[in-house]
Amino acid sequence: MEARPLAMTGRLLAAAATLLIALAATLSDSGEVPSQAPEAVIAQVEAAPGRTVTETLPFHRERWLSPAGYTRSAHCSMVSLLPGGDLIAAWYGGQREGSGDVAVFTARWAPGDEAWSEPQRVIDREQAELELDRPVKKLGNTVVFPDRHGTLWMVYVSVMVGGWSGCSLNVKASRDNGRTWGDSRRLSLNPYMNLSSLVRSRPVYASDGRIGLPIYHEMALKYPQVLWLDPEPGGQLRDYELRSLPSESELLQPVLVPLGQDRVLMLLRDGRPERTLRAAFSRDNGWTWSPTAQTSLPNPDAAVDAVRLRDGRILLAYNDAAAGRDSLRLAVSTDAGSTWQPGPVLEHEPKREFSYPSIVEDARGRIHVTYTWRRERIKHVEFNAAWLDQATRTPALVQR
Amino acid sequence: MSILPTTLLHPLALAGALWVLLLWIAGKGLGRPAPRRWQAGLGALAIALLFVPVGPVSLGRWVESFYPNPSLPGIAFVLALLWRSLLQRDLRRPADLRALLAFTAVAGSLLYLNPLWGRAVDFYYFGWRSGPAIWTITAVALFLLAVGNRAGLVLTAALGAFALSALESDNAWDYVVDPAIWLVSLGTLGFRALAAVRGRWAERSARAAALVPGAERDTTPVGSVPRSAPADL
Repeated sequence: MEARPLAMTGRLLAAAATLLIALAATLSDSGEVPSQAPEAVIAQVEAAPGRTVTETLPFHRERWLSPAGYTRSAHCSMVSLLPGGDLIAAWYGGQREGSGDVAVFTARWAPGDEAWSEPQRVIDREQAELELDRPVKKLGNTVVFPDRHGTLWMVYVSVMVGGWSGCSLNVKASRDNGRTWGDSRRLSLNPYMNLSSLVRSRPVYASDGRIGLPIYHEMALKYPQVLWLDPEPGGQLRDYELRSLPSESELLQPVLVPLGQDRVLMLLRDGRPERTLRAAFSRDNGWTWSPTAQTSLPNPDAAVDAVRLRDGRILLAYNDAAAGRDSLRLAVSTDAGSTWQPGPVLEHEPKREFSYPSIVEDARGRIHVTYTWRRERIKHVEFNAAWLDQATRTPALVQR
Repeated sequence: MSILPTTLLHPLALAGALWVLLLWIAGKGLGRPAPRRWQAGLGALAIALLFVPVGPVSLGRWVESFYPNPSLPGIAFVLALLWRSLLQRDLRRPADLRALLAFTAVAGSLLYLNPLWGRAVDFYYFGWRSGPAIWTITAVALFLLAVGNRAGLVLTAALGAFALSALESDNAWDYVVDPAIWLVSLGTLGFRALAAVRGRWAERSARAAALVPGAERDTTPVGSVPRSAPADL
């Protein structure tokens, strides 16, 4: 028996309900930050007033972030500056990348400390399953960053099935600068069954309170995206929205560098045969982007990181080869990322891996680079601009 | 924040789909529609299956984890099948189904194939908050309601579910299309289009045969495939 057409009364009632719902959904947005380009973005939350020192003598020091043998494998560190001036780093470690025992760790370091704190195991597979109430096969890339309300955020990758293409992003918040963490919440970010959203690099901060976190999609086509988070003062996410970026495929792990005057530089890992670091530019604080262009630097399909130093230069850490990750090097740009001058080599040892750098400049002007050291440990290199200048002028002196 | 548990629509969709499947299997086994007592028992079994532990979580949570956002048209499709299986009556007319399939086919193609044909226009972005997606869905729903099509009710329900954040997603597109219903829509519409083309071709062939003097008269009904093509074509 076939259903009858809708009666006129039913049509009118349903139409009225439809309009009311659409209006209600529109009005419910009225208190939120409008979905439009931010008026300005900066690289990090304002740190506590620190003593900015212009050091004339070169300073360079190396430390270990993860203790020897703490986990068999350690990878993908990300270092972030806390508002009080301390550093916090996050990475993942376990038997090997992708194994079920991988956990996410954090450690802290205060300026002047000899060593990093003992690693804190923030979340592992079993804990993620409990908090998310869903199956989790493995954990992966993690970033930590503060917001301007005093909440420290952690965004980490969890995989339900298959490889990294089968992953989702989850968020945790801490109200005590990473000493304790709230439960995980999964973010719903794409229409492909919410699979294949990954994170690697630090966000930018919009003047209206939003946080622009660079992420990327990896299933079938690889392309960068910017996730705009709108955090509330209490450590909750009020809202979020995602913008996919026009670019060619096979470009991932975007790094955002605010350049001032509404301009933002994006650097991208290159998974294509060209194997060169690629760059895109935004003139509206990261809302829309130019097509990508090749840089003069190679990229062996590996992550990079970059920051704009307080003297205006952009410092980049990258693998200096079109294949292999056995050479980790710094480069400097004095023209907002248009050209790059290769600088000192941080690590070089054939057939070893030194990769996934993360850079931050602290309140005193010291520069910190953390990176994967042979996939065994996370290393921390601290130096100042004087050392960078000296080593860039005479790179052979610091090459190993 | 949602006033509904985020899992409300998932058990409805999954239990409904399982119930339809069990009713179909029972009907095949019995050689006739399952009797009322069987129907109730199979419904209870479908709900119980959701709680079967599979590793660390239940079967229901597994499915929800892999399929976090079942769209309202998809759920409506399952419920319509269930209604027909239980009562041997249709909840919707063929025109309602055609409209829903056409909408999900177009919306799904724009969304899921967007990265293939360039991201100068980011359709998924329009679904966040009360972006253009809301008013696009509203306009389509109002048009369908104006012509008395029940697919408009489904889109109204999708808007309501979005306003209540009844799914994991906060993007309006996820409430009106999902990958499964998109593939079903493309498959169904593609199959129908193919059948229509074949019917037209058969009709044209039959007409051509009738115009040729002395040609063997084809008695194949118009709209079906002729048993043999005319000898001179």
